[in-house]
Amino acid sequence: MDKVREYTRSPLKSTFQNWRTIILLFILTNLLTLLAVQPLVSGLKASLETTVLYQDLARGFDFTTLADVIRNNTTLMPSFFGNLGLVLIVSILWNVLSSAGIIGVLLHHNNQLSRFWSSGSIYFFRFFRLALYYLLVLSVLGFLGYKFFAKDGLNILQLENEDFLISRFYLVFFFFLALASILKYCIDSTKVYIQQKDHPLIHFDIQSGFRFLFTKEGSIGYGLTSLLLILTLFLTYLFLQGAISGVIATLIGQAVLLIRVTSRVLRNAILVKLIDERSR
Amino acid sequence: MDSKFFTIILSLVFCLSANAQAVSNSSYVMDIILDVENKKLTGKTTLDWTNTSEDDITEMYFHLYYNGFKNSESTFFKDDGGIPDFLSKDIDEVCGWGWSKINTIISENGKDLLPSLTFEQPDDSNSDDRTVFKIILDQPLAPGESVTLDIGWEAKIPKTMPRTGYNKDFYFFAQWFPKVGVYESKGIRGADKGKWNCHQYHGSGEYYADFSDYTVSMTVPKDYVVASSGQQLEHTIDEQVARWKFQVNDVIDFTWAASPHFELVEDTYKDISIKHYSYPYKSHVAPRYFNTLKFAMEFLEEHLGPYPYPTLTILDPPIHGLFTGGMEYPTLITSISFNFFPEGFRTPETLATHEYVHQYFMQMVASHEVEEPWLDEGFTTYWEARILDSLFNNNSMICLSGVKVGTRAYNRHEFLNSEHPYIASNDLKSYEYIDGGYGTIAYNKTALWLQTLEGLIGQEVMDRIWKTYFLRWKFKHPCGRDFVDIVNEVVMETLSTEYPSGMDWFFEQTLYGTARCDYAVGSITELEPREIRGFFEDYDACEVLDSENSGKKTRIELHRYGDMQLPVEIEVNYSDGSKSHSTWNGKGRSYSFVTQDTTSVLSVVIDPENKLYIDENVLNNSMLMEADRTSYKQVSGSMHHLFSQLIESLSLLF
Repeated sequence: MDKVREYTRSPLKSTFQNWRTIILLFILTNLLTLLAVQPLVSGLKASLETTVLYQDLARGFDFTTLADVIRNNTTLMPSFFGNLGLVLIVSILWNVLSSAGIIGVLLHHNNQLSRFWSSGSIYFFRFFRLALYYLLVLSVLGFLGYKFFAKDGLNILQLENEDFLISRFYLVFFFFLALASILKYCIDSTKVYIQQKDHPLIHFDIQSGFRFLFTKEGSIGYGLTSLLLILTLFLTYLFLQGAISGVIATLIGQAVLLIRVTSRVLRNAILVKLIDERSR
Repeated sequence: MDSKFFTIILSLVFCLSANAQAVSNSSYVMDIILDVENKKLTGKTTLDWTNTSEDDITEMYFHLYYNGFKNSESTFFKDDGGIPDFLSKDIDEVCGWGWSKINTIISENGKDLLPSLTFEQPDDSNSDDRTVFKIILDQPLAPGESVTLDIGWEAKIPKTMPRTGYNKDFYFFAQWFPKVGVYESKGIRGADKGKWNCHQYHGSGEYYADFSDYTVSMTVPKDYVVASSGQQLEHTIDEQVARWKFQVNDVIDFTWAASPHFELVEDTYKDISIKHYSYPYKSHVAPRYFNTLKFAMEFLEEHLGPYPYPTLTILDPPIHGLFTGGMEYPTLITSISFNFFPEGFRTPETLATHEYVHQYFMQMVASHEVEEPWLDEGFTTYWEARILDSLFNNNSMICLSGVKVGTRAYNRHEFLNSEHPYIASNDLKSYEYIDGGYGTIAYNKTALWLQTLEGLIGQEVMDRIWKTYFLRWKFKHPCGRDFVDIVNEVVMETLSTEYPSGMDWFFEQTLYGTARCDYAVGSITELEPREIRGFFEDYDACEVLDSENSGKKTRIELHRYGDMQLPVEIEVNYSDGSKSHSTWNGKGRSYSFVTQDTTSVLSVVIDPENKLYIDENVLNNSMLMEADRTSYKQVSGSMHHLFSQLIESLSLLF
């Protein structure tokens, strides 16, 4: 327990010292969201603003209204999805840059945003490469999972019953999630090593990342960061469940987002602390 | 009178009226052997058929449905939508084609009528189609006389066709035996002279038959369980085989299924035994079927009349027998359920209700599904939505994580969102929808305009129409005009002021037409107070009088974008909470009126009670004087919240 306290106290402190970074992440996420939803919001506004149906939609899901909006605005959904795709690409790039920036400010104990931007830009391509590797591994895992899931064929005319497919799906899903989480932890550790060692090639850092997972500090860190992640997701779920309408809902939504952004910084702070201490 | 005797008499009267309708003009006694090794059926049928017409009958027409699966040249296969491609592939892999062959037809006089057998193609002259045959009787059959024919036949069971066939050790037999066509006397369904009505087997639509009594014995491998139409009379097992026997009277068809894996779960509704057959891994769905079916049975009993048969069987096929699911047969219905679907997807409830309603429309009220599919599929879709939306409070199709979709709303969406919603009128034969639209027009459009009709004339009058139609045509063969006539009759009787000449104008547009319906609020304009000025009493003094009045005047303009013309109700809401209602006959392309009140107009809503369910755009049915900023903020806030979480979740990957 003392260990846990030791490994969370100073990361918590450095997280809150980096409030500028947190605010920046929070604002940028909101800006990207605004860009993403704008076509849909505008489309709904144009179709519904002067009708009595908007109230129904504000109260909850209204199939008839939504179906009529989509049917009568044939360009709405294509433009929304097109725009969403673009925003997602920008968000991915931003996430790569910001993860490098976050580790930069934490590792150098420098709370200034200039450090965030400089680390972000210096390590952007190495982090991007790492993200591609991770996606590649996830794709391979997904493919293997699918192969296992469909190993006896998916032709319904050949199936004896569907229950074994359901069990298999849960099995694949569980293993995929577990492996993806462990890998993600290694990737996050690797990100710290990339900035700490500053090798031009990231393969050594990936090895360090994997090695770190199997150390005592590594397993503590894995437990802590996973716990944080689960807690954040659970809190988000709770808030989303009670999605109250109106201003309170918006405030709750913003609060949830802020918690998630903060936990992202905190997760990295824990890892930086663990790896920093180990390297000393 | 002795009370016991009185009770017996009453019971007899009840039984006669509720169960034994005695409407059959034929009976089938069949002895069937199922050969699972060779995938064959061998049958002996004794058909007793009575000529209930006023004509002498010299020839008889029969369906031989299984020949629809004989080869790729049958009309069934050539029809659009006859069979999906991947089923065709599956058939080719194992040569899973099927056929039916008549070996003997012996008349009462002992004469074999087989040499007179010829195949007929009344619908499309496709000489490769062998689904209808004709025989010449050895002597003419006078009105009221009966003929008994002993028919020896065999059939090769096809592999997994829509509605019938085998897959693994699951067998489903629908449209499976040689079945006599319908001789329509003069006057029946508008016939100007007596004639046989016996269509070829098409990809869409199959039912039209006279009422018959069926006694069917099946010999199957001894471990096989048989699920069937009607009541089980016998089940004996010897060393090799099991013999099952079922009976049902006054029905238009007979269907059965067999598998060694069937598990039976039973329930009852009043005196009716409800049987659920499925593979064991689907038995847990049975309570969902029972709850829905019992509600549907009570609902239709109240609105139409009681279900008159002692049994109702529901069969939920295994996943490899999926293509036999979702079908209606007299006293036996098939559904579809998936264990991987959450309960919020109410597929089992939807299908069970739909197929159960068919017990009324197509089974008891035996309209012609091929010639007028809207009369059963459309009516059934309307009732399905009515029942399910009552049971599940308008969340009857999907109720999952805040997403709620009602059956009626979904039917509307399915029609309006289809590729060809206005490609054809409702009154085509099932196989005449060659460019598409059969499903959405026969099923969904009919349900939409029936819902609209209900909105116009009110539910009470509509219910009276349904009851009259059901009671008048129960165990008979009505046509579309018969339904229209009943609507006119009841409407002119009950709503003579509103609709003095009936509803033909409505049917011209909906049933026989392809018009679209779209009414819209065009504009709301507050009028400036007008000054009254000029020369009045005094010819020398130019005067400016007080403004016309102290009230606020608002001009409201409505539009009709579609060609369909229906009366439209208009609701005007004022800022003090009051409302005013008026009606527009909906005939002109536009209509405007001026309201005058002490308070301002807040909004105008046309069709506020959603009576014109066929209106294709609800978005333009209302207009606010001022934009609804509050709702805009709420909706955009919710969306922002949802997408911000999504975007933040990307950090889990990158």
